[in-house]
Amino acid sequence: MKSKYAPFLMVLPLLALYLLFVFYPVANAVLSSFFSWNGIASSPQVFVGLRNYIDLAKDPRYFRAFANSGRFIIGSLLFLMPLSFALGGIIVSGVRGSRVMKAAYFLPVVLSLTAISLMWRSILYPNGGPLNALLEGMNLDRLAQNWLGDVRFAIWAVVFVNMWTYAGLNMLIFAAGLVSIPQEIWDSVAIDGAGKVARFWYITLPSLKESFKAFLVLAVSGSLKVFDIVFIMTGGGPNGSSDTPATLLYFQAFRFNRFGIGNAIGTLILLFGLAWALLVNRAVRKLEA
Amino acid sequence: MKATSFRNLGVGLTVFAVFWLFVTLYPLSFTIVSSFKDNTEIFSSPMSLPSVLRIENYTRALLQATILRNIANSLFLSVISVALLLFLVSICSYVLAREKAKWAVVVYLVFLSGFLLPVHSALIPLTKLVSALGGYNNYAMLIILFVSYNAPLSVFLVTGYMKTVSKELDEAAFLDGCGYFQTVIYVILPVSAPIFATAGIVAFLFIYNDLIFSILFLSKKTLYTVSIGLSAFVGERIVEYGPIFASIVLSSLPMVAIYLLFQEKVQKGITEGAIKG
Repeated sequence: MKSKYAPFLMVLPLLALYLLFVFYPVANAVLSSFFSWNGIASSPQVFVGLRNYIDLAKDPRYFRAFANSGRFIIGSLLFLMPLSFALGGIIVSGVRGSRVMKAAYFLPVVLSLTAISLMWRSILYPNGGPLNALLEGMNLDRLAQNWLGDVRFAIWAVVFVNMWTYAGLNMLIFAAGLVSIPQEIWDSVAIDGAGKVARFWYITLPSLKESFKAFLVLAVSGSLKVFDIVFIMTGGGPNGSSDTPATLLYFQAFRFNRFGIGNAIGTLILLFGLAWALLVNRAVRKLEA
Repeated sequence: MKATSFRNLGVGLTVFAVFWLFVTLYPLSFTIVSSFKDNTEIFSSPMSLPSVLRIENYTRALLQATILRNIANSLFLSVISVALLLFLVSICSYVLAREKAKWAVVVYLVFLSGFLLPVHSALIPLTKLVSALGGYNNYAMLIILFVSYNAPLSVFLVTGYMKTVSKELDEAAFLDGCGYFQTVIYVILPVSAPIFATAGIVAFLFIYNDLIFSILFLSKKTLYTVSIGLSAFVGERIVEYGPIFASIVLSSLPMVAIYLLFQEKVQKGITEGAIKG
């Protein structure tokens, strides 16, 4: 018995929850970013046009938060990409121990970011933390730093921990691309006598277009969304130097009741992510054409 | 494993493989080792093994701190949320996988668009909504949020899988007089068990590790989850570090156990979700 309404009724519960609790809040945030509101339910939202965005542009704190997203992106492109590419190569190579290595490299992905942040906080602890102890033990005292308490280093320390956490995930993205290259291709280029560099350049890289696309979209949207690690490791400090858009949104909205500004930050996080995803998709399509 | 240009790792990559293995595992081993030390040992010889195993760090963490309660809370939330999520996804994804009508395609795309919606963008309106619904310090509210925010990935995984399930199964069920709903529960669900396991485990992981919803919507200490319980250590004046490391170890154990048991599923589920995003 197929009832006419059954399909609708079966989709409805989950769709309703999703629309109400995910879709609607995001849409509402975009709309509310043109209003000013102090968070008190009885007081009205006042239409202010682009003022929240103008305030954002004028205040160096906000610029710094988005610049910090830029630092996460730089870290991703310069270090995380080659790192996870190499790890992907290592685990598909089938060398002895590669299965164990794959399991180990991925392990941080399943740990809570709170636990990870607490572990790294203690490793980077300035007095008696193992990193500084190691440097001092090697007579490199000059290199020992107050990693999370110094405006020069805090943001980069967090960038590193973020890469440490997600290297295993990105490794699998590249590994998926590497194993999808058919064996015949390797056999045929082996016959052609192509050198290692030529093989890498003309076969490995072009075959990994999908992997690179996934990596680039994930790295940038992930960089725009960093919250937990900064929140626990530095609280955005010292002096706001390691704030990200998401932590700034949280502090502005839920500590200082500046909800209009918060929604403007949220809207920018959304828009930058969408724009980048479209850009990467289009670029990859062009490469294929 | 297929051969690639990496068939022979070479010295450089081999050294690097071992180096990164060390970098990955060191923070974990440091945490475990420190969880058996007292303050003096943690700070004066951070790199060495504990001179005696101070098991009392664990008993103290379990007895004094609230970590056991936090773990139980997180497990409870995760189990209930995943059960509800998978039930709702099973009936929803079945329709999305089978229905050819345009509305079903649109609904599927609406779910997929969730991959591009950052949770932080939603937070302020969401707080308003939750407060209007009386959802503070309310597990029912949190469960609904966890279900909603994990819906895109689960719908994506399960719908994709159900499309590969033979339609003859449904038709046989219809002929036997099963309704749509019964067909899903008794026929399609059992054959789709592997993907439900994947989707469920991944959602479980995300929910157990959640930080943002807990800090926004929970203020009662008895309701605290693992992440908020651990984060309470930050900024507190800490007398003893050993039990804190013990708490980190204890609260991570469920996830590590699940990972070791279902490695392939965890890796596949998270990676497919990431690639889609």
